[in-house]
Amino acid sequence: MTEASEQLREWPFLRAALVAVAALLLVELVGTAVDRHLNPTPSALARTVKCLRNEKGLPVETGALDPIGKTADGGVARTRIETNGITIVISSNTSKAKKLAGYYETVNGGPTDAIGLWGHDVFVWERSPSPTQKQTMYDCHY
Amino acid sequence: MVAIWLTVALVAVLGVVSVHNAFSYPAAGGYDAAEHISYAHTLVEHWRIPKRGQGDYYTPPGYYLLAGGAIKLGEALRLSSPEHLGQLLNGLLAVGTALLLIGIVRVLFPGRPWLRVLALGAFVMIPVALKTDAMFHPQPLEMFLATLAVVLVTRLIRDGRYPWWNALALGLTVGVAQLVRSAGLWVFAAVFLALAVTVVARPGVRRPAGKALAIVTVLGVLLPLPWYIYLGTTYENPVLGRRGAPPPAQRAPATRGAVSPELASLVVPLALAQSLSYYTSGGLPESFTHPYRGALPPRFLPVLYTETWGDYLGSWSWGAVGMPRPQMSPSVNRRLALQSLVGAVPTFLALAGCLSLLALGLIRARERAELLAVALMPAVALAAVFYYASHYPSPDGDTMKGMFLLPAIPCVAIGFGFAVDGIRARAPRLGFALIGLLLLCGVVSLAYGIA
Repeated sequence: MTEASEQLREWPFLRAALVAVAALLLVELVGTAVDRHLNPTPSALARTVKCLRNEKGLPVETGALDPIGKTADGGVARTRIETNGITIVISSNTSKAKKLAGYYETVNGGPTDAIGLWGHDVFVWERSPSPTQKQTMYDCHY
Repeated sequence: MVAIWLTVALVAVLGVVSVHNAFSYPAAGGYDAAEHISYAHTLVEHWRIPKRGQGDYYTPPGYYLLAGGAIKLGEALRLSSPEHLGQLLNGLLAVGTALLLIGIVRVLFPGRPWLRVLALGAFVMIPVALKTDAMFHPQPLEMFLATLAVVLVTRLIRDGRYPWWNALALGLTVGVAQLVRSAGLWVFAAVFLALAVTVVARPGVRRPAGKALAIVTVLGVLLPLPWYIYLGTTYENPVLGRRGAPPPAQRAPATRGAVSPELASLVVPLALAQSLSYYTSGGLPESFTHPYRGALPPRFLPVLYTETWGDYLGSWSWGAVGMPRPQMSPSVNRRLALQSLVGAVPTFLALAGCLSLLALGLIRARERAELLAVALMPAVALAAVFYYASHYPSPDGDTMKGMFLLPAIPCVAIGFGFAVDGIRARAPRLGFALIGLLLLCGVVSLAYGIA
């Protein structure tokens, strides 16, 4: 039997497998969508607070103490990681976050390691964070 | 001719990357590296297996014997980090595995050079193989022996003659594989099943195939038996050396408020390990937007996927304070997210390919039983990882990482090649467009796999 005819005989198996895997993928996507509909995804702020409290065991307060933070439309959380205080300012998109980071830098007298921007989050540290402090925040970024 | 040159080029690329990685990736940077290095030192300097509390006491000594010898050689050569020779050993084993993979494809699909190129390309570019091959770790030796076992059993079934010396070689291989990692047990299971199905499906060769099966079974049981007796009598479990998680009724309650956060982080994953969603959740969208420990909660499929294509645990491109690699940052996350993206289509095709090979091997076992070993390896591997993850749950997903699938990765690559070559033969235009896309994915992944 030639390879071409053998491949012809194999094709129904391959086609069925492609369909089966695609169906599994579809079930996964539909399942995720239904789950998200029935259990709406908590806000980024809620997930960040939950992660910091439950996964990292940190005390977390919400709400801004400063006027810039009060304008953030995603909310604000505050905590202390290894003695370094941090305010997490969450925006609904990256351009708003960039603007807020710019305001903090202006107030602070220019760019500094203590003010970090990641996606729609602005991290405002009391002092320059250590790698492990940064890691803790990256772990709880959503 | 083009396919031959491409095959040679891919093996050469793998060789160059493997040697580079062996000396560029820090010896202490891999999965449980300190424990593996300590084991090798203990074995070749004191000629004893480490006790509990001294590292991977539950792992058989096969790899450490070779890697310990490599360290000794490195010391004799006055290398600043002689452990790199243990990593080089793994790099060479990766190249050896690639050659064995070519051998399997030639036995199974002799007239399909493009299938060979596609399968080899997938093997060369999949990060889980490149990562683990660069580390000081026993799994690449397990992968080599598993692939050797597949070559031997596939040739045995295809030829249909079952000479005793070939069965002996196969039995020795599956026996020795169990003296390297506990994964050797499922390699043995896959080989046993392939031969057993052949015995049932092909009455014409039942007697010689049955004899071969008996030889393989006896050697596969007897060779590692002293190790299993040692583990069983010294510790709680003869294969894994330690007890699994207690049954749910004996576990601490999973109410977070009742325990400290540190304890909760240990208790909750154990409780989760019993829920169906723990194993079926795809972790969407975080598997593709934030595919790393911390942001993506540990679940079976997401950890398996993101550790296969990226670096969920932070052992390769990020993490580990004190290692010469960056901490998590937006740019590191973007690279990991890209890895998750480029892995999607190849994974889809590899799954379909493996599934179709399994169906072909089982449904048409009388004519195509030689496909069974390749087809069964990924299925048995997945079942074994599932067992390990469910019985030995880890808070951070450490017991369900893609590295545990490594011995089956060459067979997964063959499944991938089978699927893409099948599509190419059926719909050439779609096939070539697909190959173009996959080439792009492969180059991105290969770049990620260079330390």
